[in-house]
Amino acid sequence: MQEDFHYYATYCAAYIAGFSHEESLAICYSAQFVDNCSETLLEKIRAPRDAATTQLQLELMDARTDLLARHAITRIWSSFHFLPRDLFAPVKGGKMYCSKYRLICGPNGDLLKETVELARGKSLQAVGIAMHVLADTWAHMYFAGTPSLVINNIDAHFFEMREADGVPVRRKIRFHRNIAAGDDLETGAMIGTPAQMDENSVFNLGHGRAGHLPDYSFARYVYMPAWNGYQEVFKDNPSDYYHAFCQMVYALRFLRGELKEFRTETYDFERVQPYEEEIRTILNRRQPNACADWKAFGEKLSGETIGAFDIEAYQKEYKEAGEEEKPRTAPGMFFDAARAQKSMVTDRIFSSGNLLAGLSIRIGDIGSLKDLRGKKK
Amino acid sequence: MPTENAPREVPTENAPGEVPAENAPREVPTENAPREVPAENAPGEMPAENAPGEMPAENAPGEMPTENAPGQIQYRRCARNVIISGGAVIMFGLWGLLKSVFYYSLNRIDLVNLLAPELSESLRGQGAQVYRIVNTILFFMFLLIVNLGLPIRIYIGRSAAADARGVKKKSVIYIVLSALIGILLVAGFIRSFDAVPISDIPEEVIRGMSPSDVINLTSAASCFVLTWYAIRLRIMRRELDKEGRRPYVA
Repeated sequence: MQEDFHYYATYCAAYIAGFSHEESLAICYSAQFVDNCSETLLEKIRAPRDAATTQLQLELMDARTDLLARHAITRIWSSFHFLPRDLFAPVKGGKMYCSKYRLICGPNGDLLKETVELARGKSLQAVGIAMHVLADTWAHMYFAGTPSLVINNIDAHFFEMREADGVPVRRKIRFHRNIAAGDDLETGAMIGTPAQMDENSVFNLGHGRAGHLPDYSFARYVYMPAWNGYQEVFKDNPSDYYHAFCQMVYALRFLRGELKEFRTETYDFERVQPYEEEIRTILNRRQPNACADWKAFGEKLSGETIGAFDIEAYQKEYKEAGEEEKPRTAPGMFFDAARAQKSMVTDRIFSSGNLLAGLSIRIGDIGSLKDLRGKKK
Repeated sequence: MPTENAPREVPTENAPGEVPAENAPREVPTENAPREVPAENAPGEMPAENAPGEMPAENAPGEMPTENAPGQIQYRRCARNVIISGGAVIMFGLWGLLKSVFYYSLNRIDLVNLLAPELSESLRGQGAQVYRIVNTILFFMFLLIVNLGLPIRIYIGRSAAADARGVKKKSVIYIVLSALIGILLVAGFIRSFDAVPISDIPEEVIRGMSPSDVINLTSAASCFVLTWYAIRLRIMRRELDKEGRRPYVA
């Protein structure tokens, strides 16, 4: 997903869930900041680099190609943008293939429940991070947060579902590499990363091969991933985004303390119902960026002005704070929450027997040096 | 602040866990305190019509526009095999062309001397350049003749791809040609053991098989695979077309 949903739509969801305008701003800022908090930015403000929640294109280009670098990439992308749906999914194949298959992102997995529960009772920044992760489980379905040709590749069998005179038709999507030309929504010429036959190439990370299509709320498309045995998958973004919105409202109510527990496969359709038509209109409007629409909707909801996302909003505050005050600043709380999320997801992946995110040790479980030898849960 | 808008007390059973001081949420100004939650969504209760497991009908997933019936999946798999084996038929033809070029170049074959020795002396008398030109012309003719199969292979591969994608209605000629080429390649391999006693053939096959033989047999295999899947594709297409369920193949 992109700024229109992570920032403005999250604001709307938070407000509908009962948060105040100020709280909603804090939540949506953190939700969007997950897409901006790179190591480059952290170095600039002298923040801990392990709190990175994303990697810029240039960082990925410069990344090493060895095993440790792949672990680092998988940790970040699987923890924040491609949360695995089922770490124990039944699959046949070699160990490497099974490990990658089990990192495929999808909504309503056990890890999502843990992500939302991890944010309960924590800062608004933690809530924002959880909302970003939740929203991305819907948009980035069927892709994995690890470089993998077999999981993330797409081929010529890629069609957008359109309607002509009320009849559904398939229109072929052609992917190109001309960034200057951008996405042409009318002709179906979209940007995508170049085809790389190397299984572990960084070009095969996430939904790069499918370009921005998963992040367009209006897009409905069909394609045939290599892992699905010649079966097509259908991605209905307007429906998925609406479900994401309603699930966010439900999760936010839980995080506010209104509800006792958070369950997967549960959505607060009733709370959202008065706004359903307007939301669906925004989601279905064929535009690459819906920020203006969501902003207008949010401002109508709260009667307040929603300022544009400013990446530098809190940087000065953080840089000037003393070492003891830093954790209490907004960025400080964001970094703590990010590290907690990354640790949790990495631990679950490692505990499931999957080594793609590297090793994980539960510090609290260590009593003596003996515990470090061959301890696995 | 009017009492009806004062923040509601969160019941103790829903109170959040203890939050460490360093992670405590920022204090919210009283004028921005949480709004009153409508009574029908009081804490701890999920409205009955949204109880877990229920989804309002208008939000239930609609009919999927995917083509995933068993026959359609098999058709797509078959079509892909036709496209890939058609590509393999072309690639082996190109390999044959490359092999001819290497053979001629690395062996420095004098085609004029080989094909028309009586002309060789008279041509040498006319100068080295003339000799080279005649040799070059003979080389291209030699390539053309030795690789007569290449245009046929290209036709087979392209027809296979077009047939699999349903772009054009293709006749069965390419299937017949593919089978013929495969048979000829196998026959050529068997022919090379003409002079070998039958009892010695297995040993001779293992000892005498060259890389070229391996490639020729693989090429034959790709032709037979193409033939097999192309026939299957036609049979499946006929059945699916009757039901109007032929899937897209990209």
